[in-house]
Amino acid sequence: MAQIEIDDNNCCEYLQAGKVEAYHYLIRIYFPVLCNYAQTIIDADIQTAEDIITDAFLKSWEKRNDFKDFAHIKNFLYITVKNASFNFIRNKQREKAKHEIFSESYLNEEDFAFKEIVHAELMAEVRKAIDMLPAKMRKVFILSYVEQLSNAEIAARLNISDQTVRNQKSKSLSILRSVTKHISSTHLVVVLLLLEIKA
Amino acid sequence: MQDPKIEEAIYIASLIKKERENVLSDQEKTHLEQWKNRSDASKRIYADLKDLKNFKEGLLKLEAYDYEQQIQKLSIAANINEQIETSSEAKIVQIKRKKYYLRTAIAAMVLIALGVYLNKYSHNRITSLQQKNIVRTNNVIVPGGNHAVLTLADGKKIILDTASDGLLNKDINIAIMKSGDAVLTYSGTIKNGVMTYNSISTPRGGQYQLMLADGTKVWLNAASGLKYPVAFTGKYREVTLEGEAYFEVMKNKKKPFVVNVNGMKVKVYGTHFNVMAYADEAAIKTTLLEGSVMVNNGADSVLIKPGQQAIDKNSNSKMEVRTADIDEELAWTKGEFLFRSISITEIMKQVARWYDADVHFDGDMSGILFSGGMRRQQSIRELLEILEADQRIKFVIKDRLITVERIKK
Repeated sequence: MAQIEIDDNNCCEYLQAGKVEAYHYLIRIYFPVLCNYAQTIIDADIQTAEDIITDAFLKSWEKRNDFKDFAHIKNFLYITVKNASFNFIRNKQREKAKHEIFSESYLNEEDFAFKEIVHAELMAEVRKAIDMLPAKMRKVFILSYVEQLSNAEIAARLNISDQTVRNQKSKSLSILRSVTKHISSTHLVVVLLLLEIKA
Repeated sequence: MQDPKIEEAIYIASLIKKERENVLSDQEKTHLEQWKNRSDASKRIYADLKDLKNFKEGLLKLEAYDYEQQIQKLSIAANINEQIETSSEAKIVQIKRKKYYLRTAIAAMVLIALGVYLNKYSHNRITSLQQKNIVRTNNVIVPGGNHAVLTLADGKKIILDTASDGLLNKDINIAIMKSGDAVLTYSGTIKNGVMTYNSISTPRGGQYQLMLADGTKVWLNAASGLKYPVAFTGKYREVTLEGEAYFEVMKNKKKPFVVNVNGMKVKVYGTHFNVMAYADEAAIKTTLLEGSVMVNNGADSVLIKPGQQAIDKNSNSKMEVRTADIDEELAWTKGEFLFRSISITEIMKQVARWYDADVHFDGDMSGILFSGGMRRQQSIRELLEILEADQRIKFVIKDRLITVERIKK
């Protein structure tokens, strides 16, 4: 079976055609992003955040035929997660008596959620780009450009040679570059600028 | 399902991304600038997002996340993967989902109370209206909405809640338009005409917006009234306020805009400011956002700068000028309650005005302060539950009367 390449442009269409690959793409990019988003709002254990995200993703699968496009799916996920998260803290607030302050997150509920969404969206963009890289190369890319380890450190950590690290690094950049030629997206530029990599 | 805030956040994210790629169009550039300059909060958000270290840390955290496990779980739960269709894991997820619905259902519960109502405050000096009967259809305490009554020059009253959209009068010179989003707009001019006045008043639990003939925008809070000329033909643009309103005055250097409020005058040329002058509040507070305003209480006159606030406690004495908490003062215009170390007695005044309830205090309330915020559209129960949470006070609701009791230790 030929591998389907999913991106923002075709995700909605494939999802409606019942292709699990499209659903997996959505989960791969957005589950961690949304989980982080929910966790920042609810300030609780990761398990609770995961429950909220799981619920939102289940609903998005059930509703897949109602979506107009990718932006619509994204909106749906953010709204569902935001509402569930704020419901969670409201309920927690009732259960636990808190002294003096309702909660810091109550204080600026809207502004707070706003910032986290912008943050989440920018991180999702980078995730979409590095999603194109094979697993090993992705690891090298992250260690090098995000964690900013030296080639020697990466080589030691992954138990590969210095030369392999260098190769993987340059290859990862060229993959990202070639991808940008095919898709009307600017993923490489995004990665370079969001991470300020000197290419 | 829509959430304009979320749509805006996603849009802003796309603009920031484009800004970094240097591909912003002029229009997008303007949008981003407008957003940045809208509030201190947005400036902060923008600056925070520039923090690369923070961004990289976030990414690393996400990289470490095991999404494969989630893909498996979800495939089972959504019944996508036929091979492991009847795994026990699916049931776990289903049960968790049910719990969620239950919680949401509880959150959506609205207080229901029946009976007669008591009325303690009167605010009918401008229009002498008994609109409470119009708005108050039963004795369930619910959040306020867009309710107001317009009184025309000939004394005719129009209930704006039920009036249909469009022209409200037949005057050939001045048109009064009501639009669906609860805004009243005046347009036209009168030559050599006599000043004719209209007035608008909101009941407790009401709010309304209007645009005066000169283009000045006014947001009227609950239990408030504004009297204004249908066209500003005089030397000044003069209006009379009771209660609370936020003004965005159209610039006109030749014709100062004057707000008369409880014997005090606020004089401006073009600026954004809020005046809070409820009869049951201790002071008249004039808060300035933009431009400059001159506040005169008869005995004293002060010029305030943006971000400042003039406090007039007694019209025969000097006024106090201090730095204002703009977010707190203007929260109502954004449909929010925002309290920062505010006493329960002050909070309950706002609650009474917005939920159209009466409040009685039982016991010493001194030293009970709260900080926090909430949407004004939330049910009163949600608000009261939060206030009760730390067990210093409790509420007893009978019909429209809320009794606040201090819990003895």
